[in-house]
Amino acid sequence: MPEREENTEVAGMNVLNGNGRLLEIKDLIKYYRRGRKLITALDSVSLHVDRGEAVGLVGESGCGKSTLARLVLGLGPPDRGSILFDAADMLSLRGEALRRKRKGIQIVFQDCGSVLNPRLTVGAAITEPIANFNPPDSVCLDKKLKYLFEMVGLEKSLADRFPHQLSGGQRQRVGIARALAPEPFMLVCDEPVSSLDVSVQSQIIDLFLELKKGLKLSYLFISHDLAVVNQICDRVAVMYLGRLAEVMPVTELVSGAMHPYTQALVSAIPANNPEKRGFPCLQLRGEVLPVVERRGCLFAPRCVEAQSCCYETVPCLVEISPGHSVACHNIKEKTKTS
Amino acid sequence: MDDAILRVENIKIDFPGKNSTVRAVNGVSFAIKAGETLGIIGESGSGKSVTALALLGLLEKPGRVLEGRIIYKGRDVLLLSRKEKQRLRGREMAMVFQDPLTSLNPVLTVGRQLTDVLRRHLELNRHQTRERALRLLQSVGLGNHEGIMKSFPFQLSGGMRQRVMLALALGANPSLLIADEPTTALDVTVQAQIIRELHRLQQEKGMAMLVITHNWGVVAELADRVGVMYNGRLVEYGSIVDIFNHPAHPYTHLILSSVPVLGKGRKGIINIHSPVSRVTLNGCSFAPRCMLKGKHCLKAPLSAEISPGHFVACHLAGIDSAIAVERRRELA
Repeated sequence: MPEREENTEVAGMNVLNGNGRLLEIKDLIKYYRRGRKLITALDSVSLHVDRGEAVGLVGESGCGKSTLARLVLGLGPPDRGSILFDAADMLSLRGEALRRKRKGIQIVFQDCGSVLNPRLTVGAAITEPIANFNPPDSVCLDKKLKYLFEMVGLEKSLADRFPHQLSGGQRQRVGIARALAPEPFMLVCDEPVSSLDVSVQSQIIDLFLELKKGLKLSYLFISHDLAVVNQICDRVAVMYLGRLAEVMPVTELVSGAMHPYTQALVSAIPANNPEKRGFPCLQLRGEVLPVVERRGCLFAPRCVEAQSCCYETVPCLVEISPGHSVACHNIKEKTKTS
Repeated sequence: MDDAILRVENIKIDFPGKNSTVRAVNGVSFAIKAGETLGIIGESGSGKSVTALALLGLLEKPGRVLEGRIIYKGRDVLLLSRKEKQRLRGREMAMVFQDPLTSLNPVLTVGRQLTDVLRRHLELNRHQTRERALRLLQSVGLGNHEGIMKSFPFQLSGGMRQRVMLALALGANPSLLIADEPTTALDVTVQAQIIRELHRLQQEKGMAMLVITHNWGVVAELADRVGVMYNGRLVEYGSIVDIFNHPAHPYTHLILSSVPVLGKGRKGIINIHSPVSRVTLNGCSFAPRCMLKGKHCLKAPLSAEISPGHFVACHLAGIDSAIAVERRRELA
C-alpha cells in the first residue's frame, strides 16, 4: 500500500482539526412528497463520525439509509436539521466554498456497472474528478492514475478498458479508485459489496480495511449485512423506518445488542454451520408495515415485547453505557430495575 | 440411488456464439431423493441457473443440452415432446425464481395469476379454484388473502411477492421444487422467514427441493446435501455436514473461508487470485486461481469418492490429500 502523496493542504487540515469529529449530523428530518401524502424518510436522526472511524448503518430496505447518505453528500436538502462536515456547516455553504468542501466526502455505489459511463474508459472515469479539482496537467494526471490503480489493486493496463470489459469485482475497484481520486477524508459506501460473489466480496472488504488504515479514511458504511459491517466498522447504527433504534460499538453487536430490532437482525443471519440451523432465537413478527400514523415506537407492531406505552409515546435514544444508545421503552425499565 | 426422483447424468450445455462456443455446464451429475434438499452453490457464471433451466426444459436458444440424461421418475426429460414437458412443469417440477417482480405478470392481479395456474393443471371448477388459491396463500404465510388476491404485484413488498411466487409454484403439488436464488433480493429478516417457510412446506408436503444459491448461509440452513459448482463443473459433492467440516476442494475452502461470520471474522483467506474470464482450459478450471496448484493440475481432475458419498474433483484431494495438507501448511 503506497503512502498518501504529500499534499500540504490536506496535511495542514489534518493537523488543524486533530482527531475530532469529522461529520456531525443533528436532528435531520427529511420528507418526501408522494401525491398529497408526506412520507417521512428521516425522523430526527443524529449521528457523528470521527476521523478515521467507520460507522455502519444497518436496516431493512426503505428505512432511510440511502436517504441519509444522499443528504450527507449534499445531494438534496433536508427539511430540518444540520450537517457539519470538517467543521463547516454544509447546508449554509454555497458555490466554490461548497465545492471545495465536498471534495472531502465521496461515495461508492452498490453497482458500479450502472454508475460508470459505458462510453468512457475507466481511466478517463477516474481522472475526471481529479481534473475537476486540480488544474489540468496530463503528466501529473497519469502519475495520479497509476498511484490510484496501485492503491486499489488494479493493473495499470486496465485503464484503457471500458466498464463492460471488466468483472464485477474490478468495476467495484474502479468505483473505489474514482471515489478516492479527489483525496477525500471520508467515503460514504452504499451497499458496496452486496452485489458481489462471496470470494470477491472478501477481497473488497480487505481493500476497504487497508484503505482505512493506510489513508486514515472515515466511512459511513451502509449495508444490510451485519456480518460485513462487523468486519469493517467501529460503531454501528441501526435504523428502523427513519429513526435510529440503536447506536453501539460493533464489538457489542453479537451479545450486547439491547434493542429488540437489533436482536432480530442478528438472529436472522443464516447459520454458517449446518448443525446449528433453524434460526432458534428469531423473534420478529411480520414485515415492515407501511406507517399509517407516526405515533409511539414504530417497531411496536412487530415487536414481541411491545407494551401499551410503546404504541403511545416515542422512545428517545438513551445512552446506557459509553457509546451505546438505545431507543426502547423496555430498556429503560430493565436498567431501572437492575 | 434407485429411490432418486431426479437423476442428472453427465449433462453438458453449450451456448454457441458467432465466433466461439461457451460451455456453460460441463459434465454435471447429481441425484435428488424424494423429500430431500440438494443445495447447489457457486458464483455467478458457474452454470447453476442454466442447469436448473435445463431440468425444466426451459433452456432458451441458442443454448442447448449437448449430451447427458435428465431422468425424472424414470423418464428422460430431454426426450419428451413439448406437450409432455408442459405437463411436467408445474405439476411435477416447479420453480421459484430469484426476482419475483420480473417473474410475475405486472398487469394481472395475484388472484388471476394464481387461479390461471391452478386451472391449467388441476380439473377444478371456479369455486374450488378460488378456495384452493386462498388456501395456498394461507399456507405460504400470507394473511389478508382476499386483499392479496385482488392486488397487483407492485402493490406487494418483496417478501410478500416471493411468498406469492411460492404459492404459484406449490399450486399443483409438485414433487420437486427448484428454487433459484430464492432469497437473494430480500432483506435478512425476510430471508430468514422465507427459509423457514421453505423448510416447513417441504416437511409438510414431503417434496424434494433443489436450492440454487451463491450464499453459503442459505445452503447451510436448508440443504441435506450440497454440490459446489465452479466454471460449469461440480467440483465437490456430499452431505452438508461433511462439506462444512471436511471441505476437500480448494474452491470450497475459499467459499467457506470468505463467508463473514458475525463475532468471529473470516477464517483467513487462502486464496487471493481474482476469478479469470472463461478460457478453454484443458486442465483443472480452478487452477488459475488455486494456491495449491501443481504440475498435476494441467490434466483435468476426475471426480473421486474420498469418503462414502463425498465426491471431489481435485488432484490434491483424496489420495494426495497429504500433499495438500502440507501445501496449506506451507502457505499458512
